[in-house]
Amino acid sequence: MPLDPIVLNGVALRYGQGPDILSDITISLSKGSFHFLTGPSGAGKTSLLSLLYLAKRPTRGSVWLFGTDASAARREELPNIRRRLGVIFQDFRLLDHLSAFDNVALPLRIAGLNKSEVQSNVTEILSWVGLSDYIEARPPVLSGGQKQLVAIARAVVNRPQIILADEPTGSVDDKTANRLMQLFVELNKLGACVLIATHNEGLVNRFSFPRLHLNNGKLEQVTLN
Amino acid sequence: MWNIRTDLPAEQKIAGRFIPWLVMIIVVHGALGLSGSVYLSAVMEGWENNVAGTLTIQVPQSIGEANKDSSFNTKLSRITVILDSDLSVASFQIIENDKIVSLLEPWLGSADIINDLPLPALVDVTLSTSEPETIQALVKLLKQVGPDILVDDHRIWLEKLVDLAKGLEILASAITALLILSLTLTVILATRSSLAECRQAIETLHFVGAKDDYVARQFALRSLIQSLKGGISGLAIALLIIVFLMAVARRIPDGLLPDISLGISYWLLLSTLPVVAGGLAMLAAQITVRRTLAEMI
Repeated sequence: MPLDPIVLNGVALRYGQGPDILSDITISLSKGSFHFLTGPSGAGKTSLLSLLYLAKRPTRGSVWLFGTDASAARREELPNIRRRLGVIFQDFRLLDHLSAFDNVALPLRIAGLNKSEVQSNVTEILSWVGLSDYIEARPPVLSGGQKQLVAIARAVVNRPQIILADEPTGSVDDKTANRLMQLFVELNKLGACVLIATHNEGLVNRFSFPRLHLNNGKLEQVTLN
Repeated sequence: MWNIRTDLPAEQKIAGRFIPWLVMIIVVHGALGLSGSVYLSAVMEGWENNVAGTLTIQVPQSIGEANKDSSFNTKLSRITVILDSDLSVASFQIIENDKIVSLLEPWLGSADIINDLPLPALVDVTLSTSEPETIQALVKLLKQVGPDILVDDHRIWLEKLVDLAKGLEILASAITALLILSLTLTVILATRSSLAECRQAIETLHFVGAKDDYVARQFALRSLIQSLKGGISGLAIALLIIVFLMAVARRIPDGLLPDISLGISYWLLLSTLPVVAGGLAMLAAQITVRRTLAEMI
């Protein structure tokens, strides 16, 4: 049983009868590690993340999370693993009919926290990301950057042990992007394993974290910037 | 009171919005059907109590002869003697001619015309037993007085009524079953439609750690509230109809229908209909969501 929070062994992914989107991915990310996942568009970054947040099961190989073979886990076991993850989706996946507060509160309510705990945690995290004035606002009235911040707040509110982010700075300016990266660094210092998929080379170059480079579904190299 | 916090978006498609109306219609039909069943059972019980353990003896007059025909009076006397001495007879009464005339008057017209008719003598007998063999023995004895003597133990009439009532009860049960099926199928279809509509929201909930139970409970609660709204409205409408029918029934002349009073248990049963409908909808929604999510995500 692997000890690292994220371990992939010979993982491949294919959609239907098509070619492999990912092939022969073997990697181990230790607790408290911080990695960028880079590669051109269509390289398979989002697909790799989707395996990690258990949206899909690999066609071959295994995905181990927190020492559990998540790729072979029963459907009923998946929620407990997912509750230890924090995921920032490329398209945010906010619920438009809920306010920023209720969107961020989702993981806490699902985990069964009481009303006052939800209130204090959500208020704190929204203040941390700078959205105190937008607690009751719904996503349709928020800017792209503000939606991004709500998505990040929702991903981190339950203090996840793994943070997976798909293009988290895609909708924001450089200043906000730097601020967001500082948030991730803070969480990493608290012990979270962080994996950020991005094609923003400027961002990757500014922060000296190891890079996993995907090309045509294969992991080409691991470099330390 | 009806606004419960939910993570699910409001329903856009008409299938889900239709549920309260459907439940309202089903509860109205259910309440009227239930009331009809209860009333019918009470009427049957009343008839049975009134006519069971009784006999009616007709001693006809021969046509063309006067009321005081000696053969007619002899038969009547012999019948009286038999009834007097038989232990299975609790009491008997020869119906007065005037009373027979008054009973026939609404149908045949004035008493003058009726008095010209050769009316039979009627003897109303109350029995002290309900043993069929004993009653049959008495009937046989009475018929020996004369071949034209008619002894009516009301059994045939009662059996036909009981058969009719049973048939109506079976029909009511079948209609109730159809109503339950309609409600269940509608909830299933509306829930599946909602699930498809909310697919992305449900996926997001799962990706942040929700179990199927969490999602199913929200759908079930929504179905319950929609059904309760419809059910309570339906019950209110049904009560208005029932009260109106009861007022109409009170105007029917005495004797045509037995005196029925619907007890507290009837009203309590009626009041549970919205809850039953709501519970059924909730259960159907829960099961549908759990099964569909396993296929969806």
